[in-house]
Amino acid sequence: MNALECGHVVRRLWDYLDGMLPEAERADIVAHLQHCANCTAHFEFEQSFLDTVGRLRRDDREFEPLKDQVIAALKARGFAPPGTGRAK
Amino acid sequence: MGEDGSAGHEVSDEARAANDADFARNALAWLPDVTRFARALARNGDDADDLVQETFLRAYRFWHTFTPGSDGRRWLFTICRNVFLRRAQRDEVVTSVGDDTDVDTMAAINLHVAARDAGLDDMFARFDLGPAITRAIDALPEVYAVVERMVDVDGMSYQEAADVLEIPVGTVRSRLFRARRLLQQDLIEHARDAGIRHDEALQATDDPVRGRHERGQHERT
Repeated sequence: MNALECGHVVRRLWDYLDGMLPEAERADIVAHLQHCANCTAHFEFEQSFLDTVGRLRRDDREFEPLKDQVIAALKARGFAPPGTGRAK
Repeated sequence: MGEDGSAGHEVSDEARAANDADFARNALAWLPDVTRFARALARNGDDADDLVQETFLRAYRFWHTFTPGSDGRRWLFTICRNVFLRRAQRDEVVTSVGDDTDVDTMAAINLHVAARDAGLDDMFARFDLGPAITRAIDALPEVYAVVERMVDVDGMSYQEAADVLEIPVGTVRSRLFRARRLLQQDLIEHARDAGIRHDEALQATDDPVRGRHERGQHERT
């Protein structure tokens, strides 16, 4: 019934989760996963791994102190941030 | 010789103000992304911050070479990487990298089977693995750690990482798959230890989860 075997499907695990598969192949995997609890369990486990790693991404606001430091260094080289009215 | 406004002398205050405003808008605005990239390259946070500063100082000095309308983020990444490589005084290929993506993918599946057998199917939900992941990524060989941080942590595409690192997309892919495999190996060991501690703590209480866990053990024997 399933066009694809489990071995083929799990080899495409990362390409599938990373959205790197051509549409036709992606659709085949989706169809397989709908019938195969075992493969689905693997894919869900690995997706939760990727989600967990992705949560380590730092928020832009964490870099504000560094930005101030960089601007101070730039100012020492003549940079005037907009709104500071140097050119008077 | 035409005046293109790039020379550091004989430039009007208005032109300099416009130049600086342009730099703030099109370069400084990318500081968070450049910092994430620098932290992907440099192991140590202080080194990464120095790298960011040096990147922006160079970018400011060479801002007249930037083509308006082109990809400022990419331009800054290139400067950042060049500064990094110059500082590190070594080429980035320090490890000979295996390229067997099928083997690495199947190994990840086998690691899931091992996790499931150890009662850790829900390890990512059950434990706060954030600090352990950060440590585990830092412990990876550099070529894998960089790609892992860029793609899986910072969300870059394969293509973007390949462009910035100046390596083929296929190399990004194979390094990433290897990185994930190594990382999961490390995390499953960590979770197994954490799970043992968790179960020991449960034994001190009368928790039904313990009974379920023990039943699972018996079924397998």
